[in-house]
Amino acid sequence: MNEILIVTSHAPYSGLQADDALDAALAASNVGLRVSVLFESHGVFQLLLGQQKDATVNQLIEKRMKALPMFDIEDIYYCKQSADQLLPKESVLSTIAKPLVNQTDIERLIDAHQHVLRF
Amino acid sequence: MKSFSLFVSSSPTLSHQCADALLFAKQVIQSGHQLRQVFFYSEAVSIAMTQHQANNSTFNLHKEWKKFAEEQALTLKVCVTASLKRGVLGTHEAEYADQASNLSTPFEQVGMADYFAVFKDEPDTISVQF
Repeated sequence: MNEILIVTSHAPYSGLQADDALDAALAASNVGLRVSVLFESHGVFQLLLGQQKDATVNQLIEKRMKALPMFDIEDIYYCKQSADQLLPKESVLSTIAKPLVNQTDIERLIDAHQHVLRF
Repeated sequence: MKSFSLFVSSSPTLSHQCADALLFAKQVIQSGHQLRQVFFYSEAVSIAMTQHQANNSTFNLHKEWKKFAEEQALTLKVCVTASLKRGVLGTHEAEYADQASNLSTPFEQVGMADYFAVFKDEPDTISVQF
């Protein structure tokens, strides 16, 4: 059983929640806990490739996400239903996250974790 | 007896969750369980600011958390990274930034690893998020 599931459901650059979620995932991994991450609802926007900096963005979520495997965070998933509903059809998503097709998959993922934190 | 870790991440002004966390914490103690830690993260870190003032007719959540923590000899952990992003400065950070500290005791800034380390050492601790 993995120990902590971080559920991230906010779009990047719309506030601090997306960064807070990634910070939490990295901190948990740093103390040796097994961490999984689930992108759902507007959180799937974090997975879009081709993000660009502007005057208000210092660090790209896309770049931070690439670092997750270096912190031993490899169980990364996204809600396919959210992606289908919210993202434009031509969107290209990072392959770092595996799709979870239906609600049952998500329920199973949550059940497989001892602790869940939502952002 | 069960051991509880409270993770408070909701804004104290935009939701009731931060107040619910206090009620839950009191109930944990009253029920004879252990309150292992209380950790404030994300928007909840603003509860630690000394400037929280409420008029006489308003429930002062900042004061109530302080009172509860002092009665229980409990340190209220506040994530240092999340609080710096939101302008909450402890003594050390304030000195470094040449500004006045606005963090109220018994709130104390710690790294987030401090919260998670408890789960590593005590896997049976129950985490509840508000």
